[in-house]
Amino acid sequence: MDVRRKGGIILINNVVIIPTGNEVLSGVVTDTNSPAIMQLILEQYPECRVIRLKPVSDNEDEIIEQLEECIHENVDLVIFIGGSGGGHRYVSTLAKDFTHSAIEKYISEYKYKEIYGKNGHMWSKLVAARQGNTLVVNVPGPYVEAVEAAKACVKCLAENEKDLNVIVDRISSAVLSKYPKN
Amino acid sequence: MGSELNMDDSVIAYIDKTVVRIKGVNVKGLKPFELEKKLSEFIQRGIRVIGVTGESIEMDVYNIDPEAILKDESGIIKAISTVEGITATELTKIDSAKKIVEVNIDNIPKGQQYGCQKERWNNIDK
Repeated sequence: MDVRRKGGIILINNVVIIPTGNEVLSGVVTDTNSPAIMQLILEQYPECRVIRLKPVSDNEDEIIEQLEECIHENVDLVIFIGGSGGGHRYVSTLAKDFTHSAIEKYISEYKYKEIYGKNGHMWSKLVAARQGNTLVVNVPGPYVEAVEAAKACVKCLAENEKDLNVIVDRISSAVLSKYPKN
Repeated sequence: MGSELNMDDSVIAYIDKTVVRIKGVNVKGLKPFELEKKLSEFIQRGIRVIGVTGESIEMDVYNIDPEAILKDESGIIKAISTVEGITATELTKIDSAKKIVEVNIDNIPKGQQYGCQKERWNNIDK
């Protein structure tokens, strides 16, 4: 495992947030997730450079291309927003959800957690992956779930947690905790 | 959150939801959490916006039957039309409100896959 550290502490100096979805790209939906996640990161890492990239459309190749660039630039943390569900695979009218599959295609070291509804549909697939110095995670599109997931991720990093299993487990638990109770 | 079956890489969330699709709206610059908040206050249920285009909105509404949604169509349309980024038109309507579809037993793969029928169904898309 190749993680940039200083005195055993994971250094987070350079974060990239990548919203996904045609509706975000076109402005039909205003991206409120990125600013909220950026705030979380800056609260924990005041000196960090945080960049929100242009939204990527629901296209696996484009997501992979963006991911490749981030890894090439040695970014410490990449957060993809949205595209985490089963989407079009289950319901034809839903958007195409590709962030999890793109991460899994491009990075070999990854762990995931899938949240299924009782109807058998995959509601969300959260992935934590690492290549070189770069940690990559995805969070769901809905605001409360995205923020809670990002919060869990930042907390893991602040606690110097490096185990991808633990990171993805805590992120998925955070998302689950935001589902309305029966 | 309902009870969950924890497996190694997957969790099943035992929560009921109805998928609601509203058509005939003009959407631009919508902040989905504002819609979720407004509608949640109106129908007293949890809501997630799961799909938006310039003309339609798709949402998960938790713990409610489709009939209850359809019964108050005009109230729901009135509530969403007050949200910034949504303009209702004379064509605005609830296009569909469906309880999440249960798994068809015929679609469950048989054979070597491990687990109960539902877990095996979950493996279809892997």
